[in-house]
Amino acid sequence: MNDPANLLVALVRLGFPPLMLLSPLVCVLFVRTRGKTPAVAAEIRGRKVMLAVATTFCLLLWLGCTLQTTRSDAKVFAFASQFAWVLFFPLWFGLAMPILRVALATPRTAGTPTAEVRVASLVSRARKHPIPRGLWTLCAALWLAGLAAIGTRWFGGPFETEAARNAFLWQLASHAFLIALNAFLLPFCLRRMLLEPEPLDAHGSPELQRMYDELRASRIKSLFWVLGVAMPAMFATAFAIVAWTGVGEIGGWIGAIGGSAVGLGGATIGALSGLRRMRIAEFKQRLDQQAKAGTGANG
Amino acid sequence: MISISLGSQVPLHDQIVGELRRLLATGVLAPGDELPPVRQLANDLGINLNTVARAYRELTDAGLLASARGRGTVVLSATERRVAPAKEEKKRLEQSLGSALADAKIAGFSLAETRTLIERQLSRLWNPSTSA
Repeated sequence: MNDPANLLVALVRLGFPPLMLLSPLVCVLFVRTRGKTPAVAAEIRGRKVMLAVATTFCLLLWLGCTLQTTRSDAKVFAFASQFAWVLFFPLWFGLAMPILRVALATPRTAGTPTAEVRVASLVSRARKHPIPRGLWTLCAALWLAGLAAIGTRWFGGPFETEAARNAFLWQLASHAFLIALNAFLLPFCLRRMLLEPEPLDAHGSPELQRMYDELRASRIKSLFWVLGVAMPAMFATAFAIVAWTGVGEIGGWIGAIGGSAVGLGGATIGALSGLRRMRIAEFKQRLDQQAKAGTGANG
Repeated sequence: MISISLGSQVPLHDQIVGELRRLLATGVLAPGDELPPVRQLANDLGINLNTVARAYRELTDAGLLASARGRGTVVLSATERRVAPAKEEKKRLEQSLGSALADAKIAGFSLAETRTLIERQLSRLWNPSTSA
C-alpha cells in the first residue's frame, strides 16, 4: 500500500462500485413530475421508489461483500465486491431508462412530419455544420498524441517479457484501429444529424427554425465533445499508462470509469435532446393548430 | 420554403417541381443558390428520397439546376442554362398550357373559373408580394 499507484487503485476499486450503483438513481432524481398528468406522475413516482429500493438492495449487497472480504479469505466475496458495479446495467436499462421514457414521453412522431400539408426549408443544412475546422484539428491532435504517447514506449527501453511486448503492440494496433474507426464514424454521424427531419409550420415560423437550429447545433457539438474529444483523451490516457507502466489494471479502471462517463454523458445528451425535441414538436403543433384555426376562420 | 400537400391528386414529385419552378420564376431561388440535399428535403417533408431525387432530376434535365460533387444541387443562371431555341420553347409551353387547360375543361371548370385560376397563377408569378 506504500505505492501511490496501488493506493489509487485501491481507492478507485472501493469507490467505483457504489458510485456506479448510485448513478441511475441520481439521474432520475432530476426528473420532475410537475406539469404531468396525475397518472403519469404516479407512474414516475412508483418507478422511482422501485429504483430506490433496487439501488439500496444492490448497495447493501456490495457493502456486505466488501465487509465480508475483511473477515473471510473466500475469493468469491472479493470478486463480488469488485464487480458489483455491473449491477449498474440492470438498474439503468431496467429501471432508470423507463422512468426517463415515461417522463420525457417523446412521441414517436416528434419531429416526423405527419400533417397533410408539409412545409420544409430550402436552406441546405450541409453548410451549417457547427463544428469549426479548429475543433477537428484538436480531435485529430488528441488521437495522434495518444498514438505518439503509446508508440514512443518502443524507444523507452527493452520490454521485460515477450508478453509485455505483445501487449504493447496490441495496444498500439487497437489505438490505430480506433483512430480509423473514429475518423469514419464521427463525421458520418454528425452529417446524419444535420439531415434529421425539421418540418416547418405553414408560415415557416422563424422561432421554430431558431429552435431547430439551436437543438441541432447543441446535439452535434455535444456528440463531438463526447466522441471527438473525451473519448480519444480517455483511450490515449489508458493505453499510454498501460504501455509505460505495464499495469493493465490502471488502464482497465480508466477505461471503465471513462467509458461509463462517456456512456452516461451520451445518455444525458440523448435524454435532454429528446426533451427539447418534444418541446419543439409541441410548439409546432400549436402553430399548426393556429394556422388551421386561421384557415377555418378565413374559409 | 417549399410546401406540398399529401391530399392533393397531383403527384408529389410534380408538386415539388411546380413549387421549385415557381420559386425560380419569382426569384426566391436565385442563380448560384444551393438546394438542400435530397435526403434533407425528403426527411423534412416526410416523403421518399426517390420522389425528391426525381423532382431534382427533372429540373436538372430541364436545364434549371445542376448537380456537382461537393457543391450539391445549385440553381443555374440564365447564361448557364441550356435553353432550347425560342421557337421550340414556345411550342413546349403551348403544349403544357394546352394540356393544363384541357385538364381544367375535362374536370368541368367553366371558362370564368379557368380564367380565375390562370389570373391567380399569373399574379403569383408576376406579383408574388401581393398574392400571398
